[in-house]
Amino acid sequence: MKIVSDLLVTALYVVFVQNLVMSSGLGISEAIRIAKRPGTFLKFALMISGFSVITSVICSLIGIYVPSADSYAVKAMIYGGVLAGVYMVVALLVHLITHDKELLGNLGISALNTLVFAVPYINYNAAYSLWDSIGLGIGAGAAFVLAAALIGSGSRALERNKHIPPAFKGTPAMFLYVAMISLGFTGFTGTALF
Amino acid sequence: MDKKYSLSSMMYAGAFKYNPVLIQCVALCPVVAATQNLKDAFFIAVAVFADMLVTSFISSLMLKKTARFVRVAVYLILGLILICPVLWVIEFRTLVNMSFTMRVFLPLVAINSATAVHCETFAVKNDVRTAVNDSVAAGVGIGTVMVICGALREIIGSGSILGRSFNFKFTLPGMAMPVGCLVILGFAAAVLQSVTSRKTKVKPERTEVSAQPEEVELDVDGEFEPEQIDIDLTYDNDDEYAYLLSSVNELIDSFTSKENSEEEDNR
Repeated sequence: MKIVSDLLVTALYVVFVQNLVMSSGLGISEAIRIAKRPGTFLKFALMISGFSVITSVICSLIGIYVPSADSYAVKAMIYGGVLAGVYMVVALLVHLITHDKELLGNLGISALNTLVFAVPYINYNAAYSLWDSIGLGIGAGAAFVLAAALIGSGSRALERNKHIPPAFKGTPAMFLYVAMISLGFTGFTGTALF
Repeated sequence: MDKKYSLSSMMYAGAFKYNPVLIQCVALCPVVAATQNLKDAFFIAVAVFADMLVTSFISSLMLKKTARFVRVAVYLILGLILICPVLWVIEFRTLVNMSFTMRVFLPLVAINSATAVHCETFAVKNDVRTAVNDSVAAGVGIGTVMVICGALREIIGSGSILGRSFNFKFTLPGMAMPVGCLVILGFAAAVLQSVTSRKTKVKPERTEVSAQPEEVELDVDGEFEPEQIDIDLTYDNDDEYAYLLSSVNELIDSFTSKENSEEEDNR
C-alpha cells in the first residue's frame, strides 16, 4: 500500500504542484509545438511516461552499482547514453515492425527532449526511491500533456481575441499567457516572487 | 537541395527576423531554466552555439544518408561528447565556480530542440558551408536572447549584475523563476515583431513574392501549418526569400513525417 501511495503522491506532485514543464521550463518547446495537436495528447503522455520510467529505472540501477556516477559529467554521459539507447531500441523495433514514419517522428520528440533527460537528475537530487522514480516518470508524461492542453486552449483563445495590439499578436501573447500559467504553478511551490 | 545563400542574409533572417527563440519557439528550455544570471546565461549560450556548430557540421558532412530516426539520437550523442568533457574539466579543475543550475542544465543543452530542428531542416540537406552558416546564425540568435534574458533577470531579480550590487530598494526575486524569463521573452518578441514589421513597411524596394500552392506559409507564432497555404510571404530580397522558404519547407517536413517518408524509403 505504501508503494502505491508513494508512486501516486510523486506523480500528482509533479503534475499539479510542481509541474515540470510550467514551473521548471523542461520540455516547454515541445509542449508548445504539440499544443496545436490535441488529438495526439494521449499518445505523447504514454510515450513520455514510458521513456521517463524506463530511463529513470535503468539510471537508478546504474547509480547503485557504479560509484563514479557521482560526478555530474559522468552522470550526464550515463543518463544521455541510456536515453539514446532506450530510444534507439524502441525506434528500431517500430521501424522493423510497423515502418510507421509518423510514429517514429513522434517517438523522437517524446524521447529526446529536456523533460525526459531531466527526470533521472531529479530522481538523483531528490534521492527518490525506485517507486518514487516510477511515479515521477508517469507524472512527467501527465505534466507534459496538462501543460500542452493549457497552452493549446489558451492559444486558440488568443487567436480569436481581436483586442491584442499588433506587436503582441502571435508568439509574444503566447509567451505572456504561458508566463501567467507558470506563475500559477509557481504559486503552488511556495516560492517568494516579490 | 544544396543551395548557396549569403551569410549576411542568413544572419539577418536566422538570427534576427526569424529568431529561433522568439519566433520559432525552439531552445526554450535552456533559455527559461538556465539563464537566471548573466554568467550562467553566457556559458549556456556558448555551449548552445558550440553544440549547434559542431552538430551541424558533422550532420552535413556525414549524416546525409543516415535514416532520420537514427540521426536524432546521434545529435544527442554528439552533444554529450562535446559537453561532458568540458563539464568534467570545469567540475574537477574548478576553472569556473559553477552554479548548481549550470551543473544540471549544461548537459541538457545536448538535447535542445534548436540543434535537432536546424540539423534536420537544413544541415543534412545542404553543403557544409551553408549548414555552418545557418548554425552560426541560429546560434547567435539564441545566444543573444540568452544573454539579454540573463542580464535582465539578474538586474531585476537580485539588483546586481555579475555579482556587483546596484543597491536597489526593490527587487523581484520571482524573475529567477521561469515566469520571469517568459515575461521578458514575451516583451522581447513583441519588440522584435514591431521592429521587423516597421522595417518591412518602410522599405519600398523590397521584393514581394507569393507562395505557390505547393509551398507553405510561415505562421506568425512560429508554428508551420502545411494545410494553410494561401499566404503572401514578403522578404527584403530574393536571397533571403530562397533561404527562408527552404527553411520553412524543411521544417514542415520534419514535423509532418508522413510526408517525409519517400526519402527514407529510397534509402
